[in-house]
Amino acid sequence: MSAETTQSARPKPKGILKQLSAPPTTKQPASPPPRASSSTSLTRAELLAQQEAAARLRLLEKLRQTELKPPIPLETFELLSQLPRAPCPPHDASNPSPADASLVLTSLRDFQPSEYLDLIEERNCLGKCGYALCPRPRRTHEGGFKISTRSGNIARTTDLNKWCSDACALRALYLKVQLDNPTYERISSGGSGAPGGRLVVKLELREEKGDGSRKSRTSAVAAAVPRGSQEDRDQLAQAMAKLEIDKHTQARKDASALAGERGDPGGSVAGLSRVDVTIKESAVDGPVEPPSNLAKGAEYMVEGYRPKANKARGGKQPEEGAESDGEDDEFFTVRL
Amino acid sequence: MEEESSASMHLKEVTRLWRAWRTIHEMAQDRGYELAEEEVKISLDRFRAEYTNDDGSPNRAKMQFSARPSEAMIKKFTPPPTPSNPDPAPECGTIWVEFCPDKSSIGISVMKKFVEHCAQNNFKAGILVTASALSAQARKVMTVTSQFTLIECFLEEDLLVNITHHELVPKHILLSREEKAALLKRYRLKETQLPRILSKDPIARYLGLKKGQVVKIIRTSETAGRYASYRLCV
Ligand SMILES: [Zn+2]
Repeated sequence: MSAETTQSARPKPKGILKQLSAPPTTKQPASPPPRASSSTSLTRAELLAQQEAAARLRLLEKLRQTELKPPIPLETFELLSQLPRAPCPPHDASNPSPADASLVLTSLRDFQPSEYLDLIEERNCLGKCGYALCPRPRRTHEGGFKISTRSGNIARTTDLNKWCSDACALRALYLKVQLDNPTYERISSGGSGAPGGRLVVKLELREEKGDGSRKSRTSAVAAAVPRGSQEDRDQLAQAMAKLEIDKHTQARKDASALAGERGDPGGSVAGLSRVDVTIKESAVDGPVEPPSNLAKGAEYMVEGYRPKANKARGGKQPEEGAESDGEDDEFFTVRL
Repeated sequence: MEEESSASMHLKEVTRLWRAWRTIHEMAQDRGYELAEEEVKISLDRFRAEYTNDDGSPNRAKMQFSARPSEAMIKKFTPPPTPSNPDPAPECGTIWVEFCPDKSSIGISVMKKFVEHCAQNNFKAGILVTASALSAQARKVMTVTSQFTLIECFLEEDLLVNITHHELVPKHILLSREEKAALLKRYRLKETQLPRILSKDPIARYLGLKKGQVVKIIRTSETAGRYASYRLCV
């Protein structure tokens, strides 16, 4: 495939079949050996081949991105909307049973972000909290909006009613972020750990604050994510934190740009000296007089300025002039 | 005080449901199903007596009916006999209409139950009227199973008025297969050359048009009196 395209890129237009029968790139630079430019033609051929390979890689990458995954079967939705199966007293959203956690993580790997939203919707239809590992019912606030008394934020009740609590919203959205910005890992299909495994989205549950049962949960994560090392997890956490930091950086940048505009020290143009401005008052030596109205044509003036366009047309009133036909001719009009 | 407001709220809801109930009956009748006139033109008082609980709240679980296709409809929906199939079966059958008692949005499970009910009772078509929207996956259940039973869903609020009774909506008449073939032959057209109507168009949904069917639209015209145009459902 690549040989064919490199051939066609060359200026020699020959039959494709003939070209293919000859060994391609190796022979051609060798055929004119005495010329000094042979090395440059070789590099050009190599360059072409390189570009070719890069283009092919890009194409493959694009194909993988645009490749449509098969839709998630309904049974998976039904199963996940029934979760959790583990009894509530020992397990809850912050401490899910390992079996449920690994089931959720392995099933969600194939989900598109939109399908994950469908799952939340499906759970809400059943009156459950949108987070797949939460046994509690969702909130049922009335009305359109709700004001948080703690932070003073306003939220849509349709958003709030998806979850049983803010903690569950965080847990569920933590998974959504990972689906939106997927990191891929290779899993061994046969359990042999061979590199020929399937590429899947790496997923993990949100770390719980101050939990004593941490070991049980991380083991569940490890079961579902065999290659998820602590380092990778830290990277993800950093990426998540960066989303927040980016907001601050942007705010700082904006502030410094504004400061620069004002010329405050600390702005981007802080080092530059300002233009010196000295204010000189002109001496007043006579009584103040209003501007004379007696000047000829003063009635045509607009705030002390006499429009010139109208003067040429015989001193029309400015308002009339604006409506005159001549002015319309500046615009392109179609007349039938 | 509270009782009073809840009673007036119930009354409002019952009135809304009564209007939807009438519209869905008119819809079934317009599609060609056999319904008694007094069933279609039920009065609000009778509706309230029949379909409300003791506290005045509507009893959606009771709001359901089935209807058989009329002779004319069977004739219209029976494909022309061919030598290989001299006695073809009509492509329509009993319709089942149900108001969903669930007032929250409809998930997979509710939809599956409805589809199963239609399949078990050999209904050829099923209409589920819901108070709130379907979830994306429930919609998928509906389309996946529509090969066996034609499942349609309507929102209660979409049925509050019968759109075909509006004076600006011209009369739409579904053509049978022979009529469609005759039309195409007479004007020497391919069906793709006809003007189109979307299958999600409110009127197309009202008549339950399927892709490939043709409707005749009769408009009144100031200059021409009446004229007919045809549209292919896509
Ligand atoms: Zn929850």
